[in-house]
Amino acid sequence: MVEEFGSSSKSKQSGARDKKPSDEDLIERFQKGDLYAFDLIVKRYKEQLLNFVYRFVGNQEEAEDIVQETFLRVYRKRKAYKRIAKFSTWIYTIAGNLSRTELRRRKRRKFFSITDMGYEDRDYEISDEGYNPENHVEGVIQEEIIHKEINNLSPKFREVIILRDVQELSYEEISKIIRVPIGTVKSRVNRGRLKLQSRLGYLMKKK
Amino acid sequence: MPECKSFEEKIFDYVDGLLPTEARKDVVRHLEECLDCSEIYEGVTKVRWQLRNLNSIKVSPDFETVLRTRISMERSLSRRSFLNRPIRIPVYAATGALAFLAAFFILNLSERQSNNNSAPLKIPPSFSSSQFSSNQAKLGRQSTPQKINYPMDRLTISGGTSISSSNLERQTSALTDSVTKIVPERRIQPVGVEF
Repeated sequence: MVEEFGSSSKSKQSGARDKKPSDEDLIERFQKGDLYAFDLIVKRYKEQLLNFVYRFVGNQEEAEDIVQETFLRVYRKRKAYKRIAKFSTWIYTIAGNLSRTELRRRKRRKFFSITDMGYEDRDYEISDEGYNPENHVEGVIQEEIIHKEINNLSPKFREVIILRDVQELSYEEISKIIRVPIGTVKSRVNRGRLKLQSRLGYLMKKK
Repeated sequence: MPECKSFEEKIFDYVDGLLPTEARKDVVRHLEECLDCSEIYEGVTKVRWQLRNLNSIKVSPDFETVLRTRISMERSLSRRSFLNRPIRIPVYAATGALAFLAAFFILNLSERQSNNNSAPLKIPPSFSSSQFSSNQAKLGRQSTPQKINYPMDRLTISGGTSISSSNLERQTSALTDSVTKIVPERRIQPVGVEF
C-alpha cells in the first residue's frame, strides 16, 4: 500500500471528533518511526515556510528548493529535536539559516535578481478570481512593488519584518529563531516598518 | 515635541497591541494632540496591514511528490551503503586493531627467530669438561654447524640451561676454537655473551 500524504479536507472533517495533534506530538511520533506524522508536518508547514522563504530570498523557485531542503533536514535530523523548544521555532530556524546561506552565496556569485528587472520584462500571473480586471492588475502591481521594497531592505530588517508582519510570529519566537534579544527584534521591526513606510507612503496615499 | 521621543516606542507597541489599558489611553491622548506622531502611527499601521494581507503563494503541485522521491532516494542509498555512518567508526577501529595485532605478531615472530639464533649459551646441567671435549669432537666432525649465525657477536648452541659467567668464559673460548675448526676460513670474535 502506497503511503499517501493525508488531505487537509479529511483532517477538517474529523477535526470535530479528533483532537488535532500538536506539532510537538507529531515530531515525537515521527521520531519513533511514524512516517505519517512527518507527512502531516509537511502539510502544515509547507505553505507558511514557502511564503517566509519566498519573501526572504525573492525567488519562488529557489524558495521551493530551500523549503524542500528544510524538510529533508527535519527528516534527517529528527532525533536532534528536543521538546524544550517549540517545533515551529526549530523548523523556522532551519529555513532561515538556509535562506541566509542562499543570500550569501548569491552575493558571492553576484546573481542577477529578477526583481531588478523592469516591469515590462516580467510575466504577471493574472488570477482568475478578478471581478474588476483593472483593480486586479493594480493589486498585482502593488503587491509586486511591496515585494520589491521588502527585498530592498537589508536582510536583518527583512527577516524580522517578514516573521512579524507577514508570518505573524510573536517577538519571543522571533528572538529564539534568529537568536537575538527581544529588544533588538522590536527595534529592527520598528525601523523596518519606518523604512517601508517612507518608500511605500505614496502607495498608501493613493487609496 | 520632546515627549514624542518617549512615545515612539509606545506607538509601535500600541500598533502591535502589546500595551496595557492605562498606557493605551496615554498613547491615544498623545496621538490626538500630536500631528507628527499620528502620521507615523497611520503610516506604520497601513504598512503592517499591507504586509499581513499580501497574497500567499502556493507550493507547486508536485512539491510533495518531489520531496517523497528525494527521501526515498536517501533511504535506499543509506541502506545500500555497507559502511553506514553508525557502524563506520567501529569497523575502521576493528580494522586498525587487526592490522596492529598482525604487525605485532609478525615482529614478534621475527624477533623470536633472531633470539633463538642468538640465544645465550645454554649447556646441560650435568655438563662436564670431558663431555665438552667429546662434543667438540662431534662438532669437529660435523660438516655443517647447527644454528650458527654469521655475523654474530655471540656464540649460540641450542638446548640446555645457562651456566655461570666464569665457566661460560672458559667454555666460550673453547667453543670458539671448535667453531673456527668447523669453519676455519671465518674468524669469530665474540664481543660478549648475554645471559
